[in-house]
Amino acid sequence: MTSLANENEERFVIAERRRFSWARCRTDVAPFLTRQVTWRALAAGDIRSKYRRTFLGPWWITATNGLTAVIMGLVAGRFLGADTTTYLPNFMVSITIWNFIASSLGESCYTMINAGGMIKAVDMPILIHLMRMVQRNLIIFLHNMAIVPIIWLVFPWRIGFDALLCLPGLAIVYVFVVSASVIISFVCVRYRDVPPVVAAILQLLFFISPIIWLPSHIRGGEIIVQLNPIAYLLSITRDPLMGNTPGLTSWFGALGAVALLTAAMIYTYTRYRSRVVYWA
Amino acid sequence: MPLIEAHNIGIEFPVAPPNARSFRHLALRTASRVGGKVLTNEGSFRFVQALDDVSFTLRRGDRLGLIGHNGAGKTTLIRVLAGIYEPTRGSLRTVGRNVPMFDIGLGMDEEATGYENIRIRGLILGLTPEEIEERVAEIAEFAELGDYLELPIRTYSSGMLLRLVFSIAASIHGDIILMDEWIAVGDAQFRKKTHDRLLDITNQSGIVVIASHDHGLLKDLCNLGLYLEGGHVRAFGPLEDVLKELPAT
Repeated sequence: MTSLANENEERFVIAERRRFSWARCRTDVAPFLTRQVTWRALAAGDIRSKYRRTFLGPWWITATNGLTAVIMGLVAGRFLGADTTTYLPNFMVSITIWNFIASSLGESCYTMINAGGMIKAVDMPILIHLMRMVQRNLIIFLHNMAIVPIIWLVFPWRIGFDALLCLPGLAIVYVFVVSASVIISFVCVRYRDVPPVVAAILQLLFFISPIIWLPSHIRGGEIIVQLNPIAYLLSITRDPLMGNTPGLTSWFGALGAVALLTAAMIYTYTRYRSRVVYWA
Repeated sequence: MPLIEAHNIGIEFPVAPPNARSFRHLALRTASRVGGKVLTNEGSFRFVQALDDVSFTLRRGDRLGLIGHNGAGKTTLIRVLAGIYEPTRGSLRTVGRNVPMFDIGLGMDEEATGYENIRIRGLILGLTPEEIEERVAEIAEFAELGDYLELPIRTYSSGMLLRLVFSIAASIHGDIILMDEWIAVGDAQFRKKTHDRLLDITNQSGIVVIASHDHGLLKDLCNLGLYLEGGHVRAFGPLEDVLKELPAT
């Protein structure tokens, strides 16, 4: 038996209307870093557990994504009248990034609801439940990305060191996903009607974002791309990988959207964190 | 020095009637403000007052027994002290690391092996992977599950699972121990072992709070008693005096 005794640990809570303050914000958001080991290890365990007793293990994720690539390569290029050699790589990179965003946001609807039992039983920052979910989706995303080099071998395109620009792009997408997930999970645990609404919005976003179509396909209605934050996020991650340089508009558009969302997230989390246990 | 200072703590649970959490209802209610007060009462949020005006102070060496009927607020109070529910009224100060000894099996993964589950539970308790590795051997030895620890826990009998769960929970102690009912698991021999271990843990800890219906056990263990009824404190003081307040059965 080992002692965890620590008499310096002091906690003082006073019931009041919770307001936003920077001090509170710092202590609330700190688990993102201080408990990183916890949520990363729990997420890795989830993935291991899901694919236990399977032959391919987590590489099933890559395999299924590869199957999508084959089907789309055979079918979509034809009816969209596009050239498969340029269309397919573009589509696969886009859909992989989109799947990371969409599955995280979709799962976030039920993250707090499903973690309800644990939230009421263990004194653990609830941010951990959310980061565990995002981390799980990040692992799936990285497995999915493994298909991209294979597609490159089949349909090579010009690629250089400027492809590394996708890394800051992916970091911005990550922050976007975390912030949006926190907000969605809080709203969903409070109002149980929201999950289907989120699912509908995600489907809409899929169709109005340049995933199955290229911005160059569009005739009229460019405003849809200009007002859609997802289009910017896709542009700053996909374009560098595809050998194009994203414009400054894309960077500013993505950064602006993420900054607004993150500010809203920090406010929501700090203000309502302690209420979630009562709603769950 | 470990300390618990509860000051006029109140806890209100919002209880949503079937419709109160839906947008449809929200829209109807807003609309009804125009048309008349049709839905204002029906379907509005109600609250369950789980705790009301609870105050006490515990210092090093205090062992508090919580007594009261089902629904009196014992478990809620334990969870407030653990920092899970933030009080909706009053204030709470705790000094020292608290070790919750309730719901000790949550978060386990059916598909993972016994060893992996020791690590999962450790992570949930807030230990670092290094801290967990130091404890694995000791936990395994206490659970007496041998090679079974290499197998997924879905192959365990419920008794074996409880052994594992208890061994993990009982591998640490802190300044403040919070217990919802005394834990007894396993066969006669293991039951004796868990009892001795729990006594060890409570003896080494600064403050112990335990909710129980077993008054005999509380008499052995506690010096203080808190009698809750409907979320109110009926009596607080030396356990002997508090037990006298209970209605005779």
